[in-house]
Order: sequence, then C-alpha cells, then structure tokens
Amino acid sequence: MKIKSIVQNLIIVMKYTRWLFFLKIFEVIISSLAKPFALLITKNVIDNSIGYYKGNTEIQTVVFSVVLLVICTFFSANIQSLDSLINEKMKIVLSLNFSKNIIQKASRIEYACFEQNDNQVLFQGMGTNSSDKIFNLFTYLCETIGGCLTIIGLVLVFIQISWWMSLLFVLILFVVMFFDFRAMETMNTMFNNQTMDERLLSYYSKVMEQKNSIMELKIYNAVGYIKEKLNIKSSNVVDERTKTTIRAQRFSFVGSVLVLVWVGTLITILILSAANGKITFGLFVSLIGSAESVLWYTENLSFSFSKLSQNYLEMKYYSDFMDLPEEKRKQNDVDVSDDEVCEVSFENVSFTYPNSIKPVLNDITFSYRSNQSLAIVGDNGSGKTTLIKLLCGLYKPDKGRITINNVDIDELDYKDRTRYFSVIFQDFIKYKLTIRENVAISDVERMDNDDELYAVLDDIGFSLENYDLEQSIGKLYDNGVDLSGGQWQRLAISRALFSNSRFIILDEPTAALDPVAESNLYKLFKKIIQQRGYIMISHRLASARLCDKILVLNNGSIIEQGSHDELMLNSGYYNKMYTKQSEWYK
Amino acid sequence: MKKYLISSKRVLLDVFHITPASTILVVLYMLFVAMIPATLTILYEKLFSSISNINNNYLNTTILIGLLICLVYFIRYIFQSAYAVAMNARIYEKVSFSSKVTISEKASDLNLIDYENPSRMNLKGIATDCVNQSKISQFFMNIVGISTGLIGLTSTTIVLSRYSIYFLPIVIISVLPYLVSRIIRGKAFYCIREAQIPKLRMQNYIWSLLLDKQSVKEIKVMCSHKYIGDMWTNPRNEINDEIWSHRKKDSFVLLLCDLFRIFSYALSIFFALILLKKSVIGIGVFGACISAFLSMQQQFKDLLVGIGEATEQIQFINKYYEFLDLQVLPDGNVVKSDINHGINVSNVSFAYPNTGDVLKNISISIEKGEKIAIVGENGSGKTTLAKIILGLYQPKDGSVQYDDIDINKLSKDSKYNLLCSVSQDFVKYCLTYRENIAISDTASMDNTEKILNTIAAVGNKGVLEKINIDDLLGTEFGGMDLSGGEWQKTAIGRAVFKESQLIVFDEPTSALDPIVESDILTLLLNVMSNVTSILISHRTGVCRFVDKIAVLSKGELVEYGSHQELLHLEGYYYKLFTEQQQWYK
Repeated sequence: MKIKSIVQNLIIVMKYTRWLFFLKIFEVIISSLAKPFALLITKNVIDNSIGYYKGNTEIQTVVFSVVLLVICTFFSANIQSLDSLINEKMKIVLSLNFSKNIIQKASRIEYACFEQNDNQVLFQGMGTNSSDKIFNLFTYLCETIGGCLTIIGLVLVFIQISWWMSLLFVLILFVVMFFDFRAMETMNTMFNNQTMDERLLSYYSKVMEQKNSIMELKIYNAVGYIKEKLNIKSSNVVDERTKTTIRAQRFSFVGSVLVLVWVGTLITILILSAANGKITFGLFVSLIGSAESVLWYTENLSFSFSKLSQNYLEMKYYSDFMDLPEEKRKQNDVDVSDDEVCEVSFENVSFTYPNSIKPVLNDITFSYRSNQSLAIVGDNGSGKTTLIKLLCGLYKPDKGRITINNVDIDELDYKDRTRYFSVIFQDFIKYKLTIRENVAISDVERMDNDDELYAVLDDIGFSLENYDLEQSIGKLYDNGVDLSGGQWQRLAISRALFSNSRFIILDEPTAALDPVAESNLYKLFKKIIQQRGYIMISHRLASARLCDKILVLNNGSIIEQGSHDELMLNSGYYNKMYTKQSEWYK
Repeated sequence: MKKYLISSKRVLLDVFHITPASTILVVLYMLFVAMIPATLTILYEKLFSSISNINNNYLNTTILIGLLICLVYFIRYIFQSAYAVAMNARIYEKVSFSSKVTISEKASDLNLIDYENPSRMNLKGIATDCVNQSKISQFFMNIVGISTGLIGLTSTTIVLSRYSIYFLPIVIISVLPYLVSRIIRGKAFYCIREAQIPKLRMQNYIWSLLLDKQSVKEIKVMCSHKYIGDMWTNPRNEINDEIWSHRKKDSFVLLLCDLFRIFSYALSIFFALILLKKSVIGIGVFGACISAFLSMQQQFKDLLVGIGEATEQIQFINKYYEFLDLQVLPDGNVVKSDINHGINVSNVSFAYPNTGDVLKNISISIEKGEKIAIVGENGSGKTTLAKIILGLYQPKDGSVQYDDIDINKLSKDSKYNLLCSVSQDFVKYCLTYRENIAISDTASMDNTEKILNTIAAVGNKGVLEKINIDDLLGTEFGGMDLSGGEWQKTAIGRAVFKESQLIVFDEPTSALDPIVESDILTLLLNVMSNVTSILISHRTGVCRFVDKIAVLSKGELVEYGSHQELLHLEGYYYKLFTEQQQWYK
C-alpha cells in the first residue's frame, strides 16, 4: 500500500514536472553526498594546514583544499537557495498541470457520489490544494532518500576506521527505523481514533461561532453549556495525545540510546587509533566533529521518514478521488426533433437512492407538454424533488424511462439537456460573485449581454436601484453586499429565466417572498407560461391552482392528477390540503 | 516595535499559563543545547592538544575527555525525549487546542452585530488561521530559540576570543548581511501573502462549490463547470506568478548570503591558519575552531531563520490579540425576573455597519400578554426590529424598555432569562434529543418529565417512537435526521420548555407542506395564547388571530392596530391581506 502510493507519487510528479523532476533528484543526490564528502575534505584541510605549519606542505596545497571545502560546503548545506527555487517552480508547474486534471475529473464525477458521506470525507481530506499535498509528499520522499544517501556516505567514511563499526551502524539504523515506525504507528492510530473527537470539537466551535446559533445560545443562556462541552472534550483529546506521545517517544528513546552507545564506542576507537598514530590528526578532528552529525543525520532521517509515513495517505485520497465513477459520455449525437411544442413523459419510472431500500418514486407515469404549466405538490418527503433530479439526469431511474419528444433523456448529456431545462432547486447556489454572474451563470456564453440581463432582472422585480451588475455579493469582498432571502430568491429565478431553455423548473420558488412579491411572481409566471413550459414544486397551493395541471405525490406515487377544479371536485388529498390552507383566509 | 514586545510578552505568559512545566522544560533544554558548541569547543581543544603531543602518560586524560564528550551527547539525547514530549504534546497540541477554545469563547462573546461587520469577521478569520496554523506555538519556540541561540553564540564567541581576540571581527562580519536580508525577506513574503488572502479565500470558496453536493447539482444541470473551474484556475495562476517572482528575487538574496557565509568560513580557516603559523594558537585550538566555526554558523543561521519566521508570525499574532481585545458591550447590573406591564419601543432607528438606516424612528408599545404580528415586504426590517426588541442589537437612536427599564441596564443573564425566540434558521443541534429541547434551559436538563411533556405539547411524540430521548439527532455524527416539520416542532419545543416572558417567532413555517404548516401555525397560536409574543410571518392569514399587527414598509412603521381596524383602513395591510386571500377564494 505504502510503496504503491509512493511509486504513484513519483510517477505523478515526474509526469507533470518532467525535467524539473530530474533536476530535483540530481540536486538531492549531489547535496546529500556532499555532506560525507565534506568530512574527507576537512581532514585534508587540517592535515595540509598542519603540514604547512610544520613546513612540510606548500601554501598552494592548503589553498586548494580550502577551496575544495568551500565548494563542497556550498553544495551540502547551502544549496538551499537553489533548492527552494526548484521546489517553488515544481509546485507551480504541478499545480498548473495537475490541478487542471483534478478539476476536470470533478466535473465528470457522477452526481450520486456527491451525496455519499464517505466521499465528502474524501473531498475534505484532499483539501483545497491537492497538488501542494502531493508535492509535500514528494519533498518528504526526497528528504528520506537524501538522508539515506548521506548516511551511506558516512558509513563509507567510517569504513576507514573500522569496517565492523560501519556494519554495526547499518544494523543500528535498521533498528532505529523499526522503532520509529512503531512510534509512528502509535501516533497515527491515535490520530485516526481521534478524528471523531476532532469533528465534534470543530462542531462545538462552529455552534459557538456561527451567527444563527450563537444568537440562539445567547437567548437561551446556553453558551456556557456548549463551552463546557468544548472544554471537556478539548482537554480529553489533549490528555490522550500527551499520553500517546509519551508512549511513542519511548520507542524513539530506545533508538537514541543505541546510536549514542555507538557514538561513544566510535569516539573511544578514534582516540585509541589517533594515540597509536593509525589515523592522521586531520581525520581524527573531522570524524570527532562528525560524531554529532551522525546523531543529527539519523534524527533527520527518522523525521523525514515519519513525515513520509504520516502523509502517504494523501496519495490514497487522490487515487480514490480519481477512481470515483464518472458519468457516461455521450456515444453519438442524438436528434431530438425541434418541434414548437416539447413533450416530456415519464413511463413507469421507479427510483431508490443508492444505499437505501425504501423506493422514493414508485411507478410514476405522466406526460406533459411545454405549452402547459405543471405543479407538483405533496408532503415533505413524498419524492417531489427526486422527480426533478431524475428529469435533469442527476440520477437515472431504476426502472422505466423518461423521454423528451420520444428520445430517452439518458441519451443526452448535460449540455443537451440545458437546451430543455433550467432548474432552480430549493437550495439554489447563492454565488458569492457579481450580480451579473449570479444571473448569467445559467448561460455563460451570454454573460456580456447586458440588455437581456437588465430585462430579466426587471421582469422579476430585482431592484438595481442601489447597485449595478458588477456588484459583488457576500462577505468575500470588502465592498460585497448582503442580500435578503427574498432578493436571493428573485436573483435565482432570474437565473432560470435567463437561460433560453424550453422548460423552467422551480423548486419552492416563493418560500422567502412576501405576499405582494409572491402574488406578482405568479402573475409573471403566467406571462412566461405562454412562451415556455413551466414546472413548479410548491407548498403554496394558491400557486398550484394557477397551473394547467397538478400532480399530487404521496409516498413516491402519483395519487391524484388533473386541474385545480378537477381535483377540488375529487375531494381527495388535494382538496384536504387546499381547504386546510385556505381556512386561514376565510 | 512596542506592539511587538507586548505581543511577545503575552505569548510567553499565555504559553506559560497553559502549560507551565513544559515551558520550563523546553526553555532549559534549549538553553542546554545552545551551550553545547561552546562546551565542545573547550573539550575538543583539550582533546586535540593532548592527542597532538601524545605520549602514553596522557592517554588516560585523553580518554577521560572523550568520555566527557560522550556524556554531553548522552545528556542531550536523554533530555531530548522529554523535550520532544513537552514540545509536541504540550507546547504545540495543548496550546493550539486551548487557543481554539479561546477563539470560540471570544466569538461567542462578541456583540451579535459584529457578525454583520466584514472587517471584524475578517479579523476573526485571521485569528482563526493564526491558531489553526499553530502560529502561537511556533512563535513561542522561535522566541525561546532566538534568546537561547544568542546566549549560545555569545558563549562560543567568548570561548574563541579567549584563544585570540582576532576571532571576534570574523564572527561579526559573517552575520550582518544575513540578518538584514532575513528581516526584509520575512516581511516581504508576509506582505505578498496578506495581499493574496482575498484571492485565496475566493479560491477556497470556488473549490467548495465544485465539490459540495448542493452546488454540484446546479453546476451540473447548468453546465457551468468550465466557467467555475476557470474561476479557480485564474486566481491560482496569479497567486503562483506573484509567489514565483518573489521567490526568484528571494533566492538570489539567499544565494548571495550563502556565498558570503561560505566565503567568511574559508576566510576564518585561513585566519586561523595564520594564527597557527604565527604560533598565536596551538594545533588543538586550530582543530577545535574549525568545527566551532561550522556550528556557530549553523547557530547563526537558525537564529536568523528564527527571527525571520518570528517577524512573519508576529503579524498574525498581533491580529489574534487584536481579535481577543475587541470590545464587547458592558453587562448591565439590573436583575429583573418578570415583565409586569409590557414592552416599550420608542423612536428606534437602526443601521447595519456600512448600510443606511434599516429602521426609522419606530415606536410600539406591547402590553403584557399581547400577541403581536409583524408583517411587511422582504427587507422591510421585520427581523431586525425583533432582534432589537430582544436586545440582540443596539438601536442607533431610541430605546427599548421592559417595564420602564432600559434593556441595556439589565444584566445579560437576567435579560435573556426573560425572553426566547425561534428564528427562521433555527439550529438543528447534532446533540441528543434531550439536549435539543432543554438547551433553552440547561438547568432543567435532567428534568425528563418536563421534557417529555414539552414534546407532547408540541405534538412531536412521533419522534420518540423512532428514537430514544438520549439518542443523537442529525446525521453528522450518525444520529437520526428528523423531517422538516419535526425539527420545527423541536425548535418550538425549546421555546415552550423555557417558559419565558416574551417569545418571538420569526418566519417559522417557510418550507413546510400545507398540512404540517397549518398544524404548526395552530400550535404557534396556542403557545402564544398565554404569553407576550411576537410573530413574524408572510402568511397574513394568521394575523386574524393576533391582538395587534405592526405593518412595516422600508423600515418604517406604516400601520399598527388589530386585524379588523387595519382592514377598515384599507391601506397597506388591506392590500397585503387581500392579495393573499384572493388565491384561496
């Protein structure tokens, strides 16, 4: 799993950054090998200097070795400036090429995936800048490789003193890595176990920091209640982390002791060899100095290694994301006859949501033409919105089929379908963008068509008295304005009207409107109905009354259909609902 | 500068306050580590001297010195384990967690109107980032690192200058350019980052649109992927370009610094060599100073990196403290347990930050036990007026009085004990069903009987057939989701449970099906029948059943009276009512 992720990471980085990738690898190799090499050169510098002091060596030799040392030092510790430059460039190139990929993928993922909670966790894990995460993993990988190379170089240097010390060091290193790995596992397990607690914590914080909830809590004098929950949970989490960190640290401790014992032995051997004259003074000085670097490099290697094992999961998020099922691409162009009047029909359509057993829609059959208006009414949860989702192709029916002018809508793609439908869902998007974009997003090709934009906003009664089309909405901008629920609703309806589709579908369009505005809107709808088909889901039965046809849904089935007058005569469920509502106005 | 010092002091004190033992441990360890180069220089000098003129008599001393060196390493690495725990689990984790709590507490403490103020919300955003990115802990570590680093450097310098005073200028020259460039770098990058914050926020927002189920639905149906995707890519490219051009310059500066540093390293070796040749220093000192130079330069570098980072972090930290220091309204001191006569709103005007007047000179008096409805168009100020009556917003002019006492004079606890409200966007707590009801009066959290009665009173017994009273609600943590009507009744249940003196219902039925809506309106009128209450609704039908109706238009009170009175007036209310009524004829 881990190896697979790492290989995958390398391949991605190589694929998207090409020559930079090799430059980076080259740089890693050079800089990490330069470190042990510097030891040997330091030895030369000291030996030559002493030779010079004693009169045995020419000054040129000393200068030469110092210059070598300078070059070597430059490549070892000080290549940073170059390194950060390469990193930044790679990051940018990666984000340019790779993110394009991610965005395209996002647009092709089947809609059903978005409604699954697991995938929401996945999206969160990917973060906003997935390319940065991929790159970070790559840097940890480079650090680990570099660390290994440096240590291999050091081991080679130590062979000059004693081969068994080198061998021992390699063994110890494996033990250290093993313990580090155990420590990592301990920590990761804890982090995994605490994800739920962390989500709870951020939930409590959210409740304390959001406008609507803090208002409630203030009024209930219950801020303290949530605060206490937050405090208790928070200190529990911290305590558990402290305990686990101590446990994990014990593993690293064992590793450190082993390395220390080795370093102690090394120093003793060095002193003895120097005393016997087996090694030169220069080698002695540079290796004594390196004893600390050994500790340091081992520690560094453990650190990058642990970072690596902590972050390889990022790759999993990415590959899971890329594996999400995509929409079927359109096989061939379909000819839908472009008649004046379009007909939509549902033939025995049934549907059950994925991961659910209860059918939401049951054997729905009806047809409807674009010169009519249609209202869908029924209790909450009776399947009204689902019916619309099927009609737009967000979900496919399990049984039966939906057609436009006798062509199965499954054979059309979203682009084709936009010619027929524009939909405003109940939870429509309140784009924190400009007013222009909020309206014209339904047909971006006509984004600059000011006349039509003004016309549509005027029709719907969205007042442009105080702002122009470029006005930004929402708190993302300093000059952004806030709109009320009613204004948003008008803006959303304008969005539907702006597109030139044959049908306009509105899910609860008047929920946040005042009576006068509601009334005006119904009048407006009447006007639109003459040119386009119009489907509306509404709880305001007054609006249903104006439609040519009403579907009454109950538990996923059509229980009544017909015009208002027909249904009222029927004295069925519709009659009951209507009477209930009109009682308030008697 | 003074601001920086104050913030630094606050960070030190805060961290010490949160985790005193670990703070001391970390400081001691870092001090010890900082002193190691100086100690090792002394030991190396002795070691090298004795090795270079070795004879067997000195062997024992030499080994002893070797053992001393080992001991230094040993203490360091033993100490390090404790340090790692203290730093990771306490200085980082604990401090982060408690700062998060502090932010939430402060946020809950803010005046509600601050939530409408973009600059304050911005400040809150930066403060939250500061905490989420552990800037406080990092800054603390940097301060400790800088201080101990300075001590370490001084000690090594002193040790070296004892061998020869000429070491002093070399040491100083190698530092200065690096220091200056570091400070410039830290600030420049921060400035770029800060200038990019709006773009980054935009990017995050766009990204959330692309993956949120609610928005994906619409984006798919409208085929606006490409447009939205470009909105993510374009600012991203701009951000990248800016960072890249900064990095290029920065790397160049860094490269010069590094060259300078290496140059001075070579220079110091030559210098030492000359001193050696002239017999100012011995071979031992020569050997020792070569490694001392390296570790000093490393220490310098760490120090300067630390300073660079600290100057960046402190910008965030200043914002963090600025947020924590935001003024909140002082609490009043009058305690009141009943509203005996009524509520008096006199000449109230109100404006949100950056807007014109939303309410203009409104006066209403509500007698105890009266039921009032507020109607009007969207944006006419209904909700705002309710919030002012509830004392959540402060009027710009005029005042609100409960029985002749200005509500600002009431203590917050006592004020909120008197009242209750259910708003349009009431909260669906992902807590237990019990908590969802009794959150309005947490003192009675364990009064199961009262909770059950409340549930029965709002007609929500059906929920208890599906779940237990102590089961979680809301799917976020695996609880049960209720239907719209059931949630609505739960929210009304909270209001009933509280038994307050004043209840405000704000648009409680906007998304309910006709039968449930009717049920809930009836329920509301029932609840309202024995308490002073205010109902905001678009359904003018309910107005027939309240005592008085306040009709608002564009922030002004245009009509006020009973249903019959206002119908007779044939004014604005008449228009609103008949407009809706005609649909049901």
